[in-house]
Amino acid sequence: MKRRNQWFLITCIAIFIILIFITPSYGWQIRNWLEGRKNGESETALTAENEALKAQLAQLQGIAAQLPTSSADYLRAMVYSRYPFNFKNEILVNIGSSEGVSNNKAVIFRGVLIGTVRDVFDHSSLVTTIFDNSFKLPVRIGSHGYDALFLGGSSPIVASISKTANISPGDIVYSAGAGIEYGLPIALIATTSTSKDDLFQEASLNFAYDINSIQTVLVEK
Amino acid sequence: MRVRLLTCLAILGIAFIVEFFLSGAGIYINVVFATLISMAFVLDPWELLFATLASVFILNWQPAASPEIFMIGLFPFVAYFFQAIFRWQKWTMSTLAILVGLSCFYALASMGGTFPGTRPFLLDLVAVELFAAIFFLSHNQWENT
Repeated sequence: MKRRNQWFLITCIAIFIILIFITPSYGWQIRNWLEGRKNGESETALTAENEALKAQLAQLQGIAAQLPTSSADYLRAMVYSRYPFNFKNEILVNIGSSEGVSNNKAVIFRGVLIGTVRDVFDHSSLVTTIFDNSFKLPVRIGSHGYDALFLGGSSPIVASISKTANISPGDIVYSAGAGIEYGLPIALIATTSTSKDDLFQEASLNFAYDINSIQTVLVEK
Repeated sequence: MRVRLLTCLAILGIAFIVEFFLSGAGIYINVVFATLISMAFVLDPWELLFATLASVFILNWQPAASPEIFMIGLFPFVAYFFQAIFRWQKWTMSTLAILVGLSCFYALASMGGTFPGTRPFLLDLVAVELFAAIFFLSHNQWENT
C-alpha cells in the first residue's frame, strides 16, 4: 500500500515537472482563477481615452509641429499573469519574439503607457510596469512640455521639474524618452510640491485605471 | 500517509487563497512559502516534493526560472534537512526556519534594490508565523483524532 502511494506521488511529481517546463500557462490560468481577477476595463475606458485625447492636444499645441511625426505599429496581447510578490510590478503577456516583440518597447492600455518590455521569450514577454520601483522615464508635462523625470513605484511621482515651470493639477504627463513612442500619455498631475533639496518641483499623479484589472494591452512593434 | 498529505494540501490551498486575496488588496504575505516550510517538518520527502512542485507551478509567473521561485522550491528541503540535524521540537524548528527562510527570500528577491521596507517585512513575518502556528495546531488536532 505504501509503495502504491509512493508510485502515485512520483507520477504526480513527474506530471508537475512536465507542466512547469512545457505548459506553464496552465499554472497561470489556475492562479487567475484563484485570484478571481475582475474585468475593470469598461469602467475606466472612458477616462483613459480622455487622457489620451488631452495628451494629443498638448502635443499638438506645444511641440508636435516642430517634431517629425511617427506612429508605431502595435500588437494586441492578453495578460497571462502577474508577479505575485511585492518586490516588483511585472506582467506577462502572450506575445513574444515569434510575433515581433523586442526589448524596451512601449506597452499601452487604451492609449495610456503602462510599462515597457523587459524580457522577451518565444511566445510571451515580461513587461515592467510603471508601478515598479525600478521604472524611470523622461517625460514632459502639459501643453508647454516642461521636462521632468517619471519615477515608478507603488505611488509613482514626477520629479526634477524646474521650479519655474508653471504646472497645475490636471496637467497631462506624457512620454519623452528615447526608444519608445513620443507623446504617450501616462497620468495626470494630482498635487505639486517642492523637492527635499528645494531645487526642483515634484508632483504626485492620478491614474485612470487599476493595473491589477488590466487584461489586454497593446505592445509596440 | 494519505490523510496527512491531504490535510496538508488542504491547508496549502487555504494558504493560496489567503495570499491571493490579500495581494489583491495590496497586502503581500508569503503564506504559501511559510506553509511549505512548515510542511517540511511534517511530510516525507516525496510528499514535500509534490507540494512544492504544485506551489511552484501555480506561483511561477513567467516561463523561466527566477531567484524567488528557486527559494520557494528549494528552501523547504533545506528546512527538511535542518530538522534531521537539529532534532528540536517541530514547532520551534519551524518558527526558526520560517524566520531564516523569509529573511533569505527577501534578501534574494531584493537584490535589484527593490526591498519593500522593514515594516512590510515584519508584517509578513508575523503573519506567516501566525499561520504556521495555526497549521501545526490543526495538524496536531487531526493527528490526535
